[in-house]
Amino acid sequence: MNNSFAYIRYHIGRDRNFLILYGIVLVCLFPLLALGLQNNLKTRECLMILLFLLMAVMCVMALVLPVYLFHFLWNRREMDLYASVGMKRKTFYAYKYGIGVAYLWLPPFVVLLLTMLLLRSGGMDLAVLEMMGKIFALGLLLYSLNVWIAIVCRSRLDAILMVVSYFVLPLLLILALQTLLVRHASLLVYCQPYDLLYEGVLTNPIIRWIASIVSVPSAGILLAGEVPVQLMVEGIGNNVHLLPSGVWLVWLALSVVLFFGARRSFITKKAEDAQTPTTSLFLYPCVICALTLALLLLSGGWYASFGWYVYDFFNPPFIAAIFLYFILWFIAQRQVHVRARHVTILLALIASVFLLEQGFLTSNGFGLISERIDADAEQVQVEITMGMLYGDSYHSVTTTMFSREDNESAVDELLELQDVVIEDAKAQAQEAVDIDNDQAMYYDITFRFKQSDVLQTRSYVLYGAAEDELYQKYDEILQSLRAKGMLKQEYVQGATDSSLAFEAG
Amino acid sequence: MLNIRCMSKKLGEVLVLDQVSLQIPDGSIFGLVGPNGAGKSTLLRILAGVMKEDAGVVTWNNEPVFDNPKIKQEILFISDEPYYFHNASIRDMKQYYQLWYPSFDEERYAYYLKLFRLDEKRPLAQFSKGMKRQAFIIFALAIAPKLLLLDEVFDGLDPMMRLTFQRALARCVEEKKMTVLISSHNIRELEDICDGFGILDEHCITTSGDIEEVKESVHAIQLAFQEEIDPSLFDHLELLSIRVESKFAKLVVKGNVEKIVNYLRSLDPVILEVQNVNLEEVFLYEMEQKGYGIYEQ
Repeated sequence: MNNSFAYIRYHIGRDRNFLILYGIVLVCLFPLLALGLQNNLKTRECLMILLFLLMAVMCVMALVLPVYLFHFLWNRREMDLYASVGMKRKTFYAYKYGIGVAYLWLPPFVVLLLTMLLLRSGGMDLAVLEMMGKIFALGLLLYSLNVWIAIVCRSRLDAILMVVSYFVLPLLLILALQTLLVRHASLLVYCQPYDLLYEGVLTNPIIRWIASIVSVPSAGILLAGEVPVQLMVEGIGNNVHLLPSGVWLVWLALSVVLFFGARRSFITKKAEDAQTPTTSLFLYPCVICALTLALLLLSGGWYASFGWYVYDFFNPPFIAAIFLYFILWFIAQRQVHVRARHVTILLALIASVFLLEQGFLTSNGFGLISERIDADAEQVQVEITMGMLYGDSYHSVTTTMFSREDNESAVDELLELQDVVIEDAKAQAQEAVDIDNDQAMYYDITFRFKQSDVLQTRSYVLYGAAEDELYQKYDEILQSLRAKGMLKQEYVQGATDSSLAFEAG
Repeated sequence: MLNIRCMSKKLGEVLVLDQVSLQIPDGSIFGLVGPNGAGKSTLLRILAGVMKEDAGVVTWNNEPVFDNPKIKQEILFISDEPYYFHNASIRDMKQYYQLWYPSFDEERYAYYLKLFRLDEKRPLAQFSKGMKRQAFIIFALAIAPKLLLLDEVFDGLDPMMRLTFQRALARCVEEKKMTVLISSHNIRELEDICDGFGILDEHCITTSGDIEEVKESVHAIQLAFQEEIDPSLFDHLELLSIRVESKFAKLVVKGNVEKIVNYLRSLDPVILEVQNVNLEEVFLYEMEQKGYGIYEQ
């Protein structure tokens, strides 16, 4: 070929209908929508919506483009045409990949730039540019992953199934692990488990790095969470980031790794493999095992809080897991044939679920679960509400948010209060509490604390009867907090003595 | 020159080609024949660089073919079911071939387009099988590559188009010193156009050579005797086929015709008649000898 760019020109020429349609969609989604929105919304709100749309466009294009660009690998007749062209395979791959990146980035970038100019106050600032950059980087990662999948697959069906699986499966695994945590948390902690999940995401850098790198959808969710935080929340500064700092560099690096991995697969791809079953271990075998593991984790304790019972083997996720397991193997091998290794792997997966659950319990949630507020918490506050379970009356107090710098003794006192609450919760977990009577009471105790600049909570709910020991204890606690002047707010609903309602001076 | 040395290829677990060796000189037309599933198309794809050989050497002008852009620009492969883009017309495909083949000649293209009377703007999907084949023949003639690989190219062409194509091909070979390798089941057509041929069977080239030489070395001889004859009298001859019925015998035999006739005369036949054998008969007798079907004339 005399001119190396002749192929790119030719390719773009052939894609002109697609590019025209793409351009029309982008113009409708960005400038036209922005012009419509800016009459009703502030510029920052418009930008937030546009960035969410950009994420959606990137996601869709990153899923579609690899299938569109590399579909010729799955058809023998097409391979006859493409494999006999006068271009080195690595060069041909680079051009195809590069064209995909150009389609992925350039049109949205140009249209978005135009939109920023159209918005009345410009709208372009560092935070917006930073978000855009991260969105483009994540889009490139998803695109590179799907390029690799498209090349390694041998048929259209396999490629589409694997692209969807690699996208959905990480979310399913995260959901399964989350379910594992929530289901077993009551054996390890006495507070509401969702507090720990929230804390884990915000404060545990390892979890955030894992979520940002191992799974593109989870990284996308964190990125989607970061957009409103960075654009809309005033005064939050740059200290709060859901995504680890510099993660976009890792995304770019992973994209480069996937580029070279896909290139190698492309160069060694055999034309005769088109339309044959895909055999790569990283595709069907991995996906099937991961999907089955996720569904089995979801199915354990479906009917009970924890543990496996006989009927758990007939719950919907378990049945779905077994069904999908074999169906996917049949699709993978293109025949309805159960092999010994399929059954062996399935049994191994079921066994590993049990081992995982046991490991989770014995290792205290793999060291991730820590209920007690750390002794060096920077700020602590408690809110206690006690009221009739079946009535409207309640008594609620909220302390000041005490800072360790200003009032260390108050902070320590609240930390000791948490120990008391945990003991009470532990006692309640071991003994059944009768709440089926008109005099049943609830005690809602929420500790809010700041650690590493992140606000976290520990929430507890206790039950008892009116005037029982628990009532006496927490009434004394409330009185004590009031007497020490630690209260910021106090509300009484339905009490005869309304003078109890006051604001702490 | 096209040179294939000890080339083997497996498709999955199936051995398709085993120690295939072949040399085709420049400026010749070589016919490749073989039963179904012999590996003809696979061989052509390896020569085109679509597939890579598992073992052996495949070179064109002493350079390997696979993933070699410089060599691939000199080779054009037209498969039995050529691929065209969705909704593409002849003109669209022409642009594609022009991109990859600098030797594409507009004048030749226009000439053959007119000769074959095809509409270049009409989508190929609307063409009949024969018309699609003609379209790709036009590309082949317009490009006139140094090595042209054609898989079942005559299939679907009407007799007039076949003749036109044969003449055009012959002209290209003569003018451009093009080397052509054609695979086909229609051996009679190959006989008209090819200089050399090879029979691909049981994963390798079992017979190859110049067509005229092969035809001259195979002879069909009809004999009649006064009495019943013993077939063992012919055992020492290189027989491709033998049919003995009472006093009559028909032999298809390889070798020097004079020596064979002299021997047969020594058996004192009443009738001894040497007949011409065409290439198709040679192929069929060879296949029959190997137990592939029965040829009865």
